[in-house]
Amino acid sequence: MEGLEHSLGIVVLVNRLLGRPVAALLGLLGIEVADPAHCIPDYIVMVFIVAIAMIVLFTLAGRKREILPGKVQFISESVILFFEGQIVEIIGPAGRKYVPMVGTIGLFIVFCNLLGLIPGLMSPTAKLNVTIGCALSVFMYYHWQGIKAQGFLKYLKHFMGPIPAIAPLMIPIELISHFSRVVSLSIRLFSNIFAEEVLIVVIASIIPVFLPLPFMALSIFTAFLQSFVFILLTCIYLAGAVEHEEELGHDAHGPGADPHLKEAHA
Amino acid sequence: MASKINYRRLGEATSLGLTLPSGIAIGMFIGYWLDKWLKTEPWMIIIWTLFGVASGLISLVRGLKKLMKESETGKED
Repeated sequence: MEGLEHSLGIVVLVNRLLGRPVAALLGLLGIEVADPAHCIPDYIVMVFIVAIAMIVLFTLAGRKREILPGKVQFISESVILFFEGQIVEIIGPAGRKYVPMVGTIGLFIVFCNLLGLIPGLMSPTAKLNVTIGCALSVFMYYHWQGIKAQGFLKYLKHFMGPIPAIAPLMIPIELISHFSRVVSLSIRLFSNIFAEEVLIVVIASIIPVFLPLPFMALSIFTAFLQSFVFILLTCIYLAGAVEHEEELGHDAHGPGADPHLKEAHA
Repeated sequence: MASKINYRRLGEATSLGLTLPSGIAIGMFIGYWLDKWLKTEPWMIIIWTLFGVASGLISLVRGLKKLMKESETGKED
């Protein structure tokens, strides 16, 4: 697959500069690299571009803080406030401590998605590796926060479902549903961004002038929507992990879920 | 405000489509892996695929119920 794609200029440049040192470093760790001249894949380069851009941008935005904010400070503050508003809406005021993680993931994905619109660069989120990385970090983070908020045993108890008798049946089901969150998070983001990039390429190969423009506008919309969905689901999972007790109180008539289930099936 | 709620519900609704297949896929994967590990050729994959189907259905119904409850209360307000 990689042989079919032609390399982007910046990827070739980075590989020429850093390929051999990185290959040597990996060799020290016992990983053999087949082609030391092209060992850094394109999405890694793009991820680092995004990371550096974000660090520079937000360091500059946070350096001069004033009571009457300037343009940059105002924009970055409203971005943070947006994340905070989402979290407070879903988790409640106690969820404010999750703003750093959720905001970082959300901004990272927005920047990654939008990077593909710049000619000569690509969206790193159009590779499954990057989105699986994001989804796994969200997965570990919400479990960790759940354990921190409720204690290990109490958190594990939630996996057993409402009735102890059917716990052996519920544990694999809950386990699968938690793992499937990683799969659905990563595959949704990946497939949307990948499909959008392929669509633009295909349309541009038919008529390269002006016709791709509406699709590129659509892809801006997709970029924001997909990262919004990602952080939304992160918040929902966090909320589910952190405040189980109240939820259990709501579903105290746990078997009462079954008639609903049948209702939904009918 | 109305458009914001719409986007939120749109996001949640788009997330529902993948819950069923990803549950089944994870179940199958765990079953396949356990089969390889325990050498119990067809059994684990069958059992865990069924678990996967159940888990996918349960999370789908849970998500749908939440979404429907939200839309009902939204109408009342």
